[in-house]
Amino acid sequence: MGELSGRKKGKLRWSKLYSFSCLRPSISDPSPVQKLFGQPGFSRVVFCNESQLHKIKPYKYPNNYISTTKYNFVTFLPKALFEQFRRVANLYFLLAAALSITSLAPFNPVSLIAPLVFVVGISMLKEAVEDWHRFLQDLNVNSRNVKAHTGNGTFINKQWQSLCVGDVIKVHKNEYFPSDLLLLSSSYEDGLCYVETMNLDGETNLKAKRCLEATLGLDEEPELKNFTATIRCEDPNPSLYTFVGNLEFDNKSYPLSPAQVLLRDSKLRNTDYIYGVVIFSGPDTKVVRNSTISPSKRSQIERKMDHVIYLLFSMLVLISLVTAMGCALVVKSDMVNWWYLRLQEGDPFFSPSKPFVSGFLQFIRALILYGYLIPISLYVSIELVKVLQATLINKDIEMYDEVTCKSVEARTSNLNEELGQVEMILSDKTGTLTCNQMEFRKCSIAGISYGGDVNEVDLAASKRINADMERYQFSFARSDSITESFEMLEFSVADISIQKAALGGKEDIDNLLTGNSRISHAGKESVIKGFNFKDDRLTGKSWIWTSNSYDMTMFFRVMALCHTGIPIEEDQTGKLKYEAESPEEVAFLIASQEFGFKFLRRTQSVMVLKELDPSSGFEVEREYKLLNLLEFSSSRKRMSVIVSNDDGQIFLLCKGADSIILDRLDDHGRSYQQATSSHLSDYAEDGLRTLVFAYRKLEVAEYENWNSIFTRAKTTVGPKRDELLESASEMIEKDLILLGAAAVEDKLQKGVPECIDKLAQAGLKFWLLTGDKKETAVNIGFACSLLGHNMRQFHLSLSKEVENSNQVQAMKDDILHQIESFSLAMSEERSKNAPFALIVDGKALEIALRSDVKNHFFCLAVNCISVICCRVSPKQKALITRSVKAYTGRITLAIGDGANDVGMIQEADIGVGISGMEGMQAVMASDFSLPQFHFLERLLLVHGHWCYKRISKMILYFVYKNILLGLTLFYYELYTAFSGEVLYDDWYMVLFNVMLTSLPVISLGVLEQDVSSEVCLQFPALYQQGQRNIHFSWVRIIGWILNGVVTSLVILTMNIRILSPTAFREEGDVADMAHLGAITYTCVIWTVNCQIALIISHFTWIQHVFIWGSILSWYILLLIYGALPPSYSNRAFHLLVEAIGPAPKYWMVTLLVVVVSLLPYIIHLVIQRTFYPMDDHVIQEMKHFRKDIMDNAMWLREQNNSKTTTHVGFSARVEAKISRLKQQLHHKKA
Amino acid sequence: MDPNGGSSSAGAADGASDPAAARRRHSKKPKYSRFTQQELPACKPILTPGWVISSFIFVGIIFIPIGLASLFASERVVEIVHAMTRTVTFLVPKQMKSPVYIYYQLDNFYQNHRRYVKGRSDKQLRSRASENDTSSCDPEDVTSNKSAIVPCGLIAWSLFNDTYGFSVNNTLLGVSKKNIAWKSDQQHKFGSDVYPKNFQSGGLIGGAKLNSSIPLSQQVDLIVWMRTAALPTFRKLYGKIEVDLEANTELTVVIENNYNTYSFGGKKKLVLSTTSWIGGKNDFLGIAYITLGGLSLFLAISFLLIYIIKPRPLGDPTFLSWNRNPAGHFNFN
Repeated sequence: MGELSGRKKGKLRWSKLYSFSCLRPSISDPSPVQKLFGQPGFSRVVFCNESQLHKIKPYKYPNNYISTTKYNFVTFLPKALFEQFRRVANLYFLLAAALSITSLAPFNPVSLIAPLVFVVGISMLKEAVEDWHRFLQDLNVNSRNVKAHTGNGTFINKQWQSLCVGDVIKVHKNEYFPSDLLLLSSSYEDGLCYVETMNLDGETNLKAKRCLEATLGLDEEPELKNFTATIRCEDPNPSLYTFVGNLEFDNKSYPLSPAQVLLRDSKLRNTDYIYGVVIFSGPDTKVVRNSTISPSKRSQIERKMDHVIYLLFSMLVLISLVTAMGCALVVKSDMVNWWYLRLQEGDPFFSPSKPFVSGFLQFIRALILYGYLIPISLYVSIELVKVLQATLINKDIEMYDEVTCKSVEARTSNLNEELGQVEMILSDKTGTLTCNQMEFRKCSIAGISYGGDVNEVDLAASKRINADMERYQFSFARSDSITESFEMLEFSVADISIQKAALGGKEDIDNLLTGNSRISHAGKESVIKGFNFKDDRLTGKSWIWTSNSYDMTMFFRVMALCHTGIPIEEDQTGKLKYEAESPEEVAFLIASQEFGFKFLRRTQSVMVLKELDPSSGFEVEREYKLLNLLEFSSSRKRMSVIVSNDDGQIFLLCKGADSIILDRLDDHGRSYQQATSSHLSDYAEDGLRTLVFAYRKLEVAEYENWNSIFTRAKTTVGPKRDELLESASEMIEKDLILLGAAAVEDKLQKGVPECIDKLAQAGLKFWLLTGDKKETAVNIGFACSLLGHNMRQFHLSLSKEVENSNQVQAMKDDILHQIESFSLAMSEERSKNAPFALIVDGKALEIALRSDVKNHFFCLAVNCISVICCRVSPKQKALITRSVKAYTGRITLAIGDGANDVGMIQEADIGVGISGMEGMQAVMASDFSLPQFHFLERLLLVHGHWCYKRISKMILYFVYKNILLGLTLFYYELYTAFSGEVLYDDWYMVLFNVMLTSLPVISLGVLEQDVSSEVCLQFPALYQQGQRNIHFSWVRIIGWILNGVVTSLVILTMNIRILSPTAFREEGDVADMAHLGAITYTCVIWTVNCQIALIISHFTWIQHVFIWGSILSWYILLLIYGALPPSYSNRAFHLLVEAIGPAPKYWMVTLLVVVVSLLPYIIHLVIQRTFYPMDDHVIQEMKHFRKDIMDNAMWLREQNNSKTTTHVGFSARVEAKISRLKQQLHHKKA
Repeated sequence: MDPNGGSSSAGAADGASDPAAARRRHSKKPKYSRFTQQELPACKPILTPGWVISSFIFVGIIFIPIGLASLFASERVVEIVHAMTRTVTFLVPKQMKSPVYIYYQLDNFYQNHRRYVKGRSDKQLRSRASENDTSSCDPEDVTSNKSAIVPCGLIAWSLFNDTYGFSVNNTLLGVSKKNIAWKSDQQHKFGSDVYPKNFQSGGLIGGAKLNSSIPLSQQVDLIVWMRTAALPTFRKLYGKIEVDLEANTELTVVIENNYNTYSFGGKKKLVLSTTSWIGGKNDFLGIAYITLGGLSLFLAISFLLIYIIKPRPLGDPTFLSWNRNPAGHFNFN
């Protein structure tokens, strides 16, 4: 083993490249924290390699088992039951079921208990299944293996869950850390290791961690045999970026910093193995501390439905009170004279001596009797419908991703309709919007831009202008239209970027798109990974003939030398693969390889390139001595290498952000500055990440002189070191000569800009929350068109001094001050309708989200078109989401792919996980998982819209039909002296929601479509019906309740007037209770089923079968029930065949009552459709008359008009471009 | 799951290398069916003005004749209603074709009262074997010596017991009790082997007594009475007169007024009525039909006028919300 590790150590000295950090002393002044240990919050003691000491108190810590389940076998039943009966409605049903066993019940107890058991059972089963899945997931994680030290220097596999605090473990390359560890040593000699913290903060670049010098030697298994040490450190907490502790080893005390701590769920990269000691395990780890308990989510409609239920409940109480009071009054006043009731016999329900008792008992009975007002079956039906809806979503073939072989998955069915009401989308960046892959796209060398000069926006704009020109030319409505069009043509010609497209019309655009190799294609897959660049001026070696080939050579040299990457020999092709700290460096290396500057290998001090020599045209190998490396940091924003070539010439090669480099140019080095700057802004607007390349030639003496200063600074110990280094590098990184700029693209996922565009048009707002740095986030903002050139950007961040002062009040003042000045600027410019964007960084956000600043912050933020938050922690993501929800009251959707998005996904109204390549944590926490971001468009605009309308209509109809049935019972009470007698047979009522009216409403909930899926996508404005919640507004709810109240009154009174008291048959028979009940019930069944036929606008054979079948089933029920022997059928015996069927009056009543009952709704419908048609109505009509085909121009125009004006998205940029051109045109005219 | 890489690396890698796995994963692709893709052929009816107007006209045209027919049928019915005293003599206003149905009508009598409705035992009525099944019959279930009352319960106990004798010109008219009860009741619900027992033998006498030698299935008055009425004002068949009564015939009714309705303020009425296909005399149905038909025609005309005066072409894009409220919309024109 030792031999093996030795060999590996020899191979890669990657860690040596980091000249700054390697030499940096660990912590400047450890004394203040020292005092903290043993105090509250800093009480943890870890005995390294002596985990047996942690088996007894007071050092007993939890083991590494984690559990995310809500229940266990014992707690499931009580806990789940408790959850179920927290719903008021369920509690009511439970009460009713309990009472139904007593003599109070007006019905058969089974009819009350069975549905309750069903509803509660289904919901609990769902809970159980979900929890089981969580358990399996935990099991999988807990039973992963890791090598753990067992004493004697041997390591054996141990399950994650059985790890204890104090265990020494060995983690190999690309493995996850099982718990929070103290890094003891690594396969590198200097104890460095690289960690990917993707799951913690979403950052994909590698982070270097470094062990203490003291433990450096513990890098082989036998060494660990007798290792003991004690760690005293802070208690478990969720802060990912801090750690305070100290290590007592060999009778010395060493301070510990976050650089020595490896966190659970991050991954070891580029390092063969590390040894570490478990400090925090299982529930104590920072990542678990960062996780929030997954809340059970309910949709807004369902929450509103609760209010509807409360309303119905009050109605129920009211009519029960009326019944009870009526009963008490009748009992007290004259019922005693009703000799045929023999009340003196002491029936507590009707006791003239105790009218209050009777009233009270009657009240209880009435509560149960009118229970139809609160439809328990509504919950069952909704659950069922939602599951079916979710199945249809899952089955949508349009949302199947061929690449990952995954389709969309609705992981909970609770939130289907919420998808139709989303107003804000909070999105993660890496892995969600971007592929986490950098591509070299464009470059500007010596003032000439390569890699395509026509971008998609220009193309689209010119296409539109052409189309409009055609329209002008063919319209004769305005006399001057033709001249205007010609002017526009002229003007278009003048514009360089549009020139070709506008002149040639459509064909030429197509040519441009397909034929011209100089247009880079965003959508197309590049052949070489990381290199999406097409320009034959550079790729075919032809550049060597150009006049400024020296600048070009230098440009490529900067690209090939100024980096920290290392080449890795790969396969047969002869091309090299590179590894580097950041993916953009990899992209540069690949690009320079393509341009003929292949970075072959590096040693500690030498870099070897295979260069294309412009003078000869041959490839030659050249060695460069690496003299110094001034590394990249977020504050420096630049990186330089100082190299000397074979001839002994010394060059400083520098790359960095434009603002930094352009300030450091020599007066003679600015020849390309103007051209480069304009290219830079073009690139930036396309969302490309740009870096400016420059160089400087150094005299040997100058270099020597500087080097001594630099070396002195490097070896300084103490707080002044940073300052000294900074000033040293300032001394040399000046008087640069500009070469040009390169642009890489953080490659977007397929269809992202289009999807964002469509969603923005549908009125959704985007917030980008990313753990990445600001520059990256802003780049992506531009790439996704969340930011545009016409937008004013507000950057909210803490100023350096304030940040260093570390005083909360100062920070608050700073942030508040900034917010105020932004708000002021905003109100000044508001009149111009100028769009604003807010860019906040993590530290500023932390202050901004404090309670007293929060309101100001959100006031500003909601007025901005787009908001980008960078460098935010997972916890902050969740916090932002919660605050946005609370402050705006809007429905939020959070989408992300990594473990760092879990909090946000759980916190948002709807959490969406990307089930692409990386991790499953986000998916496991999500409500919906998508294989691709762009499926969000279809999920929201089509399925969301449909489900929203389906569920709203379904609930309203359900309320209506149950009120209808329930109130006929109440009205009938008025005729029975409030005695609680029921007009209908028990079975009719039991079957009402089960069989007679259930299937149509389910078909409404599952299959209704106002418009087809294409139309949903074509007219994003339809989505706003959900956002404004017009289909489940209180007006509608009250309207449907009133409809139910009136209709039930009509049905009962008309039946009574027609059927009583005279004979209803030619044979002279009068209708008794059974007849009246059955006839009235027939009217109820017909009415509710015809009513739903009026609501449904989309009839497939299923709806027809269900609706008409339900009506038919009522007659079949009557037949079968009546054919049973009288001991079963009681009053219904031979009812249809003998009594009501042969009577013409029965059928006539049905026809009349049904038409009268539906008349109010029909009149409402006709008036609404005639005078106040909604968008979907008009579109339905257009479709019906095939106007989309016959008048296609109108159809397309309306699609365009239906889009919300937005400053976000691709089309907005096209729009802005066109209006800019138009302005110029007018300017020209004038 | 991949045991080494853990949750995060179990992704794209494993499927591609293994063709069988790739096939398996590809089988996850949802199968196309018109149902799952929600593309079933559907009929999407549109509420066009033509449809609205013609259906209203259709309703009008159908309903008015039905209404007229039922009104006519109701008009044809001859009905005589008289408050009951001891003896009444009245003229038959119009010819009454046989059968003339005789009803008694009670007001303010809550046969539908819950306590009353429950006061019966269907089992006991059906078969002799269940004679002692009187659990639901309280307080009229058993005699003081615990012997079951047949028929038990409040309903039977309060059986109507007025009797009527009809005579024309001092000639008695026969009152037929044939077929006044439902056949299903006589054949299936009231047993032919069940005889009244202990009925009206207690201290409190409710209504009529029953001949204990006649089985319940033959006690038609009881059977009719036991069919509880739905409303507090109700009629029940007493019998039929199976001869025609000519107009202006002087009909004398001798009433034996036994039934106590004074205590609860109810009224008793005697009704003689013929029937038509629509049943007894009830104009409401016909009037309702005619009204609704008329209303439909009215609506048809109003909507027609509205469509003429202020038409909205169907599918007219100007009615789309974004065109009605175009604020903020950029229009390239």
